[in-house]
Amino acid sequence: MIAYFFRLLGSVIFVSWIVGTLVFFLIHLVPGDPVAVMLGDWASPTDETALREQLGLHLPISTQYWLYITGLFQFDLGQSLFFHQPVSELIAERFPMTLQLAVMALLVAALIAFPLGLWAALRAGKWPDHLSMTVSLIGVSIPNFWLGPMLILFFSLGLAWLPVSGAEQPFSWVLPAITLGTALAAILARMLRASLLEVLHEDYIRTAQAKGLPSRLVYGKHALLNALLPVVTILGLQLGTLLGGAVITEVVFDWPGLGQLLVESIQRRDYPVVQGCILVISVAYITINGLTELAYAWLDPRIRVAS
Amino acid sequence: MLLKYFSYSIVVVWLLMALLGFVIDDSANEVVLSQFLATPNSQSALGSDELGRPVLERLILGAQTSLFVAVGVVFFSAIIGTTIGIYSGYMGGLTDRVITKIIDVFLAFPGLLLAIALAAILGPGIENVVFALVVVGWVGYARLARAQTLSLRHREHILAARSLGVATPLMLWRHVLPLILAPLGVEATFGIAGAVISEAGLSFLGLGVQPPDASWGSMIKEGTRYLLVAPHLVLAPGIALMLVVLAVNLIGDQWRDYLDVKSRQSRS
Repeated sequence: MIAYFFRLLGSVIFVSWIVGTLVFFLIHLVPGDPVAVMLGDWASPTDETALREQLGLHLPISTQYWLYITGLFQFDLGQSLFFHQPVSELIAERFPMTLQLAVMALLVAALIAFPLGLWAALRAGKWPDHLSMTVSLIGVSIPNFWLGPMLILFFSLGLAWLPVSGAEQPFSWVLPAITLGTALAAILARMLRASLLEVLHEDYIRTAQAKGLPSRLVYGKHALLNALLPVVTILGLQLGTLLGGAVITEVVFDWPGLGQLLVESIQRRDYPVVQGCILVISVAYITINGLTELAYAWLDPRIRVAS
Repeated sequence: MLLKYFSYSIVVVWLLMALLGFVIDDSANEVVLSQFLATPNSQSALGSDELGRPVLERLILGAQTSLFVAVGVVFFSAIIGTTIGIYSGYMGGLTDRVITKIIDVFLAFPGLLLAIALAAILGPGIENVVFALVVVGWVGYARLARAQTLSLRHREHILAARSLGVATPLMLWRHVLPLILAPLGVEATFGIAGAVISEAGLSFLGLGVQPPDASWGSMIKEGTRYLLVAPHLVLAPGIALMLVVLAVNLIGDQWRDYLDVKSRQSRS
């Protein structure tokens, strides 16, 4: 287990380094002169030189890279051109909001997916199965940037039950969490159904039924617990995906998280902030995936041995 | 059966709309301020937007955009990904290990975020959207093609061909590719649905197609500002988008079930 942990840690660090390198090169992919792009047409040559020196773009690229990577170890992500504030501070302010949204969305997804998947699997091939699988297919197919406005139209503008946007009011998180969680709920429900169906055909389920266990125990304990394992993995992996998907949801609901900061900074051409946001979201994603794999290996000894 | 007709007819309508886009080019971008936010009426079947442009015509142009991006993305991702995946799986050894590592790194990156980053840096525009989504999209095909090829490597017909001295490219093209086309086709179908959503998402964020060109994503974005007074601006492109994605996903599902011999037998 310890060896497995260190191998995993090594892989997380390696991939994070690659991501950091890619993010570093992003600014060099800007067509033309990034400094001119950032400052716009009216900038004077003095301004351009000043910014070039502030960003270190006048240095040789190897020095730039070295400074960037060593800076990362000190949580130095550069200065925002718009806020005149360290990027790390901006991100520290916004990150908890994105995490909160992602966790809420995960809860919403689990609350929808479990009953739906269970119902479908226990009535496999009958109408509840078809109904819940059709519902989940619709769930996968609704883009969150459309679902969000529709929920606002119905629950905020129509019924006036929930706030339209922002994060100040007590129930502000409800609509964003549903918007972000719906697609995941649909995926989870399908996974749970498939996983349960597989388990239900196992011999030990037949044994449990044959020895006269009440079906509550057969399904609730023997079947569900074993079917959960792959579902939990997907759940963990999807938490990372939620961090990415949160970008659009945050824009729809004006949710003050990292995604909104990212999109606004793209519009402002505030590249240091863009780089910082992408780096932080990616590293969070990689770390969560690593933790999920670790949890999975801990739950299922077969994984540890096989790898 | 009903679902089958439903999904194929939606896709046919989508294709027809995209074709129609070539005919109606000019009227869709015509600003008619007297028609500002008009609800559906006799002149424009789906109403007009905030510049008085007819929503139906813009919907048709949007269909063209989404089809163009979807086909472009799936075409290039599938070719690049499959080539890399087959080669990696067939060669094995160091080549395979290096390529697998690269695939892992790409998979460790949240896909949508990478596309957003690329689109943001390269600047908006339909070609950049296709490029960004191909950079993200090829990995799925590579992984699938590699896994499928690995399972074929030791088949007798491959061994026979190899002992006859068939060159690697010909071997992959004639003896490996035909056997793995079916699962790749399923993957490509889901890929189309994914590309349609991603294009609309990028355009929604202002990183995709630029005005005055139409995309369902940017139509939704512009429409959300007038949600209370003119919900049809968001309803029309949203429903179109959802129906197309749903239909394509359904077709993918049907093909996957059809190919899955095990589940086919248990059903009959």
